[in-house]
Amino acid sequence: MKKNLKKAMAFMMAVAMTAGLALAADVKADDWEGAEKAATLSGDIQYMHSGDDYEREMYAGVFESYMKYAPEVHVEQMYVPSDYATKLQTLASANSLPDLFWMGESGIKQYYDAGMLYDMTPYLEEYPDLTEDIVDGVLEYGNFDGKQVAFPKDWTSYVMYLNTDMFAEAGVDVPTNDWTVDDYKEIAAKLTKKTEDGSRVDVYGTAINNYRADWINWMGNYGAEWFKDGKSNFSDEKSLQGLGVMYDLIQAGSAPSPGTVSSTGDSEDRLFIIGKVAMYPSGRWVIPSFRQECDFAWDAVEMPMGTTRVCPFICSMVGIASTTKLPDVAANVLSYQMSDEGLVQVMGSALSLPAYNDLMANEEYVNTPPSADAFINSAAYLGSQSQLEASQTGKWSEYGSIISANLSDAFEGNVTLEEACKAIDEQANGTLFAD
Amino acid sequence: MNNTSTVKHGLTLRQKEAATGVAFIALPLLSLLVFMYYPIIRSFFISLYEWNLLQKPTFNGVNNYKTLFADKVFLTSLWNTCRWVITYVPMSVVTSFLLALLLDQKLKGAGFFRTLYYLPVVAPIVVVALLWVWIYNTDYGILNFILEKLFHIKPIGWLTDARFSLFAIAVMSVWKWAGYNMLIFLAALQGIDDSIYEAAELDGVTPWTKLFYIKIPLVMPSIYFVMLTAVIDAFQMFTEIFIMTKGGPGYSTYTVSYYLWSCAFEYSKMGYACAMAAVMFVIILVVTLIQNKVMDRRVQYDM
Repeated sequence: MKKNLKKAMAFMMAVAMTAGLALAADVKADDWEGAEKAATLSGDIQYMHSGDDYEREMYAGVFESYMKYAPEVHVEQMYVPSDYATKLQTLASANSLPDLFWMGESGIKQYYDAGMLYDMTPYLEEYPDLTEDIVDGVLEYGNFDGKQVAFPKDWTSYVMYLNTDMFAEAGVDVPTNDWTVDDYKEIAAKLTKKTEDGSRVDVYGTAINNYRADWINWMGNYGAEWFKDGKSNFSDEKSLQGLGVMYDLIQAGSAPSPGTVSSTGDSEDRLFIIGKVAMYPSGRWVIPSFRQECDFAWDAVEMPMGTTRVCPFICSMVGIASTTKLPDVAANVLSYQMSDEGLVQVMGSALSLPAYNDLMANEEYVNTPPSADAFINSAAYLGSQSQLEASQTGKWSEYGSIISANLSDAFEGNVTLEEACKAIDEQANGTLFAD
Repeated sequence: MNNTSTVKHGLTLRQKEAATGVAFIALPLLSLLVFMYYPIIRSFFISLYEWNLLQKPTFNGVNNYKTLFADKVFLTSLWNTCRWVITYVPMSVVTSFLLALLLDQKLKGAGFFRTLYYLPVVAPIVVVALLWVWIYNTDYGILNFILEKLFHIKPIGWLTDARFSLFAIAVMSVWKWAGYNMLIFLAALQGIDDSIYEAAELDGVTPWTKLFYIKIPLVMPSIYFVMLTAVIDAFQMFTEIFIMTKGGPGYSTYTVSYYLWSCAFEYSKMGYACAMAAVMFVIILVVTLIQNKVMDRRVQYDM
């Protein structure tokens, strides 16, 4: 059975890649603005990225296509399947950064402060297509002191995935994009099923993740300024209201606590796949596995509306090392990667979304299932000032750990949500953001 | 000139033997210097700097140490580590010793049981940890199932309730490592000369007397060794926490090693992490010296 599934996955991935390459070939060569320059460039450059094996193959395809335009350039692909941040940091401390590399949107600051990132602002002028019709706000995460030092290679929306078979079985209407948090809580309760003896939950109506995307989304949906004036502001009423959605779902038994999930040795997305969770909030990155493994009907809608809506900005940004000897080549590679021809080769996988508005409505870049509306709509409310400020402190990693540890205490019922949020603010503002 | 100890090239036999000895220990000694002593000394120096791995270290004096003792997470981690040592070490030593005592009997199939008890030691820690994660599962774990069926005890969140999480991991660790120390105890017990038991039996001693006046005193060097290594290992506990709870819920299973790792590789605070390592080094050293002083008096090396 597993063998067959693997074969089927391998076959479908091969089909998707072939389709991507075919689409890439279909795009006219002169569409890419860097083609002429590419032919004049030469040299060897390294490109370091993370991801799964499928992404490795996709990017190998992108580099191969690029090298057809630039026959004198060799792009060495440095693929790091796990523990990426530590390995990048190790290379950086050894002064051996690759020419181009990925960084999380909240990890750029430390590289910028260390002077390790090339200012690519002049290249944005040289390759105007890089920023033309780009989704609002995404460039800001890589912009420090007016310098563009990292570029958003894509982004991912945060949406609610639905097991629509379960809705049909329970006689509950599938929500539409205009649903609210109250609707969500009510549906989650209706879809939660207990075991026959009533002692345990068999299927949860929904799940939550003790993860930055969830926090940012829920607090943002109540207009919370959870990071303000350089300080953590989780005790703010609106922050509490947003996080309260997660907390209430656990207390009501409609969602398992994160500890309950980890004590199954599984993750929340796996619970959705095996039919133990009816609604699951997550990013676009789960789609390839959902497509392969869900043996039920499923779809996605926008996250339920609180008093407003905020979609967390989750992205890998591409940086050029300041030590590169070939910045022109690096920028040319980036330009190709971000071109329609480059993007079509990676967007087919549905792991992420293109950073350009015109491509968002294009089925070749934002394919289905699930419905594309939820993803397209969320571009209109992407990111928040709090997220931007917090991620640009360069201390997100530690701040995130403080949030996660204290919220886990609340989600497991050891402290109240108010106590946890107070502890987050005291700890973060007393140490990380003291000055 | 002493002809018997002189060789053709002018080296005495003693010198030649010394040179051979040095050649043999050179590589391990070099490894020890490069991969052990140098990092230890270097980390002491780094602890005096603020260093995020990406920028040049800046001298920070003893500020990292001052911050450390005002850091609630560190203090919690230190307290948890002490709780861990106090919980895990006695449980581990007693369990191992009891197993060794059982296997020291003239039992049928002793070899089978010895293998059985030793199996968890050779099983990868990741596999063992995941296995226990399932045993401890609140809703579907076998432990809660048994407790509920036999004693009508409501499901306990072994890994999610801050009151139980550290203890639960300690039990798992005892299960995992008991076989290793058991072998050391067993070897010591089987090294006791039968004539001692025979003489005791002639005097009509009870099994308890035999245990407390013959066995325990004579295996004291092994107990001493096991206690020493168990305490040192316990202070450095990391893997089980990393796999099973990631320090949670809250900070209830944060240990110094886990926090140290987080600071070094997640928060890029290498100087701070090194300060933590230095404090741990001193604590372990002091505890070991105390143990040495207290236990050495009770250790009898002669049979």
